[in-house]
Amino acid sequence: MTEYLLSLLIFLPLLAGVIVLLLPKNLEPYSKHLAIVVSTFTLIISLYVFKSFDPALAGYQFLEEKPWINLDLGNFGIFSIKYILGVDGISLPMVLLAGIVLLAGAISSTSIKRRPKAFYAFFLLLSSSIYGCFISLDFFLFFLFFEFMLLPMYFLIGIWGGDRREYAAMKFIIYTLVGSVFILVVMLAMGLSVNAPAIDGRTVFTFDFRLLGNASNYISGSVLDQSSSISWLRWPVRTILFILLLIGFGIKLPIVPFHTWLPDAHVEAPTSISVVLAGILLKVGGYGFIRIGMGFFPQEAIDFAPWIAGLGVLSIIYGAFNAIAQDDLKKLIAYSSVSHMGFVFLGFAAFNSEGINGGIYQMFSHGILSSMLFLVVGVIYDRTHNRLIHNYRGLAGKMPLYTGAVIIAFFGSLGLPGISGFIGEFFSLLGGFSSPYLSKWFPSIAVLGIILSAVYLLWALQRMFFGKFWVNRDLKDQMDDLTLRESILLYSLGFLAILFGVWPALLFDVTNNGVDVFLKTIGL
Amino acid sequence: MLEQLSHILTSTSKLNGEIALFGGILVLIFIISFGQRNSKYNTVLWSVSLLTAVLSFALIYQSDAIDQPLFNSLVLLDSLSIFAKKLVLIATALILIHIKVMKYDLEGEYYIMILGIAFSLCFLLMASHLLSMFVALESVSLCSYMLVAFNKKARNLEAGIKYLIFGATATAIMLYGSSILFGLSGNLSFEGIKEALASGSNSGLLLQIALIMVLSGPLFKLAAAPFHIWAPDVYEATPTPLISYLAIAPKIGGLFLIYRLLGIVAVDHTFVLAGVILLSILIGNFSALAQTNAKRMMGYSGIAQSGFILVGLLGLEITGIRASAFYMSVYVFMTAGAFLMLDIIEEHTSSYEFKDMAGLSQKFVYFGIVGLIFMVGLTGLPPTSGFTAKFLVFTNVWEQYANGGHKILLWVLLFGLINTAISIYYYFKIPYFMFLKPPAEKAFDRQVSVPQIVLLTLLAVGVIALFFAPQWIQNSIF
Repeated sequence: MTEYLLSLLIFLPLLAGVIVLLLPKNLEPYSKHLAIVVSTFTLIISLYVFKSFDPALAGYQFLEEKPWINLDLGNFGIFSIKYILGVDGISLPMVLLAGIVLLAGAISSTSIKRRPKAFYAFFLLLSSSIYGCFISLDFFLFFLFFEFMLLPMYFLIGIWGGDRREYAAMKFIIYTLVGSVFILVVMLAMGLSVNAPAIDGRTVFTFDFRLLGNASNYISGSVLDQSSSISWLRWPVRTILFILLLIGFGIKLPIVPFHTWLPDAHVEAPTSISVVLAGILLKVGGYGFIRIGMGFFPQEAIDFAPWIAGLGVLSIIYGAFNAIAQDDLKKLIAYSSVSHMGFVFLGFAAFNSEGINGGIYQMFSHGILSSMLFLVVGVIYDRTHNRLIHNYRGLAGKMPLYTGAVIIAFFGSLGLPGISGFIGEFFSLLGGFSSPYLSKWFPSIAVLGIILSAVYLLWALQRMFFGKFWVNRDLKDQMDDLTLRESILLYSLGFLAILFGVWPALLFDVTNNGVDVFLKTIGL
Repeated sequence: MLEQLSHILTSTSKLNGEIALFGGILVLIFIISFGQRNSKYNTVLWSVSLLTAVLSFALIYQSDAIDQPLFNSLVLLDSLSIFAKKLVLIATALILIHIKVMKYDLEGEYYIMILGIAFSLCFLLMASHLLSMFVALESVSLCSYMLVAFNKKARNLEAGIKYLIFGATATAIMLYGSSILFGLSGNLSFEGIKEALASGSNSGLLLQIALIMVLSGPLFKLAAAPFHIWAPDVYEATPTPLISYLAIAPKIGGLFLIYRLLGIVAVDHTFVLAGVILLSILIGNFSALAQTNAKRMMGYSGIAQSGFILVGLLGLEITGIRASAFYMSVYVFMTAGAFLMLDIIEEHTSSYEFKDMAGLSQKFVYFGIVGLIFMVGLTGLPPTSGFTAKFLVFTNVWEQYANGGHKILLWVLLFGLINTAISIYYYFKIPYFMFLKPPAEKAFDRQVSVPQIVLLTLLAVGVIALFFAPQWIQNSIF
């Protein structure tokens, strides 16, 4: 049983999605129950995998390997595409996070009333491809899931979104598709440059991550050989491919200046989809960048470390300033997402154990906190259909439970020690300061981002929640406190945020060794 | 004399499939001449056509490749042509079924034209001689012109004339190029030209010009730039199943003919071909962005798709032509499906305008999802074989580049793939309107009929199945 656990993570939601799609009309209301049950199951599986993962071992665990497509390329050789799944210390936190966020998303989706069958079908397809992204160890398979995420997301935003949903959905899909096209170029190039052990004396080209990561497998003299000096437009081709990856995953993460799709998508998406988008979808960009960008192009990544860190710092500062200027609470949080994801790039660019661990921790913690933040917006939007900050004042007196959750989420995001956000940002900055590849300026400026995040979050908190209770007259009678469902959702996420804030070893025990192995394989 | 005769007789015996097609056409003519003009007879004619196509496919399926040219080196029955002929007949059968499930009551002459195109394409695909190439290409063209102009409405006549004028120009240029080739080599058969050019010391420039001119014929068939101008008008005016056929079948002929022509003229064609590819993709994509009519959009998208199909020919490696052939096979399913979908939509909305499709899939959920598959496939996203096809042709480009090819290949790679991302804007207009827009006032009262949905599903299954098991086609390509 345990040898197919990871496959279950992909196929359980996929199967459930198909079942939901085929449900007859009178059973349609049960689609949400099915989605919640399946999401609970996948969370349990990912928890089990997390528990039984042995951090002391190097390499991937829970491996599954099956041949899939063998394409005959004639006299060139054979393209061998395999179905390989596995997790290591880098992907495992993301799998766990996916479990948490997707369950939160499924539960908060219950407020969707329009065409629930189609909604949950798309939601489950999305879940399946998100898991697939984090656990596949074949570039082709990874790319398949990476691209397949676009379609359900397009419809989830485009059908159930706000007023400008069509525009936001189209913008989302075009931006991310451009990004994935860049990644496709790299995939093609890498697949044709790496040899697997030959079959019947014929060359075999492979997309296996384990082989792609090893520099000695590159066909000597090929364009991607480490010592190759072939250039295009006066740049070495390897460098160009790395830049393509940087942009491709940068769009997904998102990194300023490729971030403009994100505020639109977030503002238009329904609450639960915003949760999934911010909570886990963005992390695919960060995960892909470390696994593929840094893992397979280590020398280029180190050369570009100041650029990566610079983009990260730019996102931190630019996102924060934008957030300060917003009056729409959801937009504010969307920009705060851009700002916080900048720490991920800063941490990664440090190329030391602290930095990369910090980056991964930051992804995990941002996943939980941003899910909370978007749920917080959802609460108020469900009641009044209005998210403008200036319409509300002194909510604390009227909605104490809600205010409690908001305080955990806001303080967690601005990096209060004791809540998970602090650990991620602290270690990313620490890595930045101790990295030999980065100037001390990068982390120094990034610290400003924390101060700025305090500005916009505390200011919003003060304006909306403190003082004398007042809401815009039209919205007056709808300000009830959290329902039971909302309280459970928000407070369990809040509990997780605090748990990972006071006990970081829960995650570091798993990531630390994985990062060490990773650094060793890229030669540091 | 006797030897010649026996050569011709043995040659003839190898062409069972074509003979069957020809026999089918004769039967059709016979029935039309002596029968009546009513829909009962039309159904008979339809059945005869489908039967002929299936029979011919079966005969071609059984035939073996022969290395020696037949009919005094007029035709060559190699595995390449057998594969392509099978593809043509599959397309023919699909379109005939399309005609039936959409309840078109076409007159007998249409079927003659359809089978005529299949028949002449079979010869075009086997052509190994400038003469046989020209005759076959022209008979494909003539049948196509008539197919477009046949129902005598002003719109069709206009499109037919446009098609004819551009086609005639392309043919004339091709003929001129062929005569230069003949002048340079003193030979008409492909094999002879190849040998003569290889041994002689010819001016590279003249040869290059001759090659470009000769290519104009097949490029016109492919609707590739700069011979694409007819496409949108013809697409818009022609009845849907017929244009579905014209969008598929002549492209098969054009693709494989270009492959052969590039093979005989040993000059560097990278720049010419890359130019055609980039131009086709650029013009097709960017013109398609602005369209409001789905059929015109498909016309421009066909131009761009031709560019992508040709990508596999860069470098003229066997890997590449296999990739292109795979693309072509997938294209048959995707395009036939897309046009069938548009036809079904038109049945309910009486229009091909995007805005009239609004909210359609809220009534026909299943139909909308199946239709989505074709658009995803044409864009080239996984998990459809449209992705595999693009993946394979661009694999070829990287392969060529990595083995010391031109730098322009990298441009083709990057530019082509970025255009994939642009193309999603117009391909997704159909699902965009069908899923995302609220339905118009008037409700769609009728249902999608079962045969229509079955055919559409089969095509969609083909598009998806070839992603998961591309070896089905890959291993049957020569």
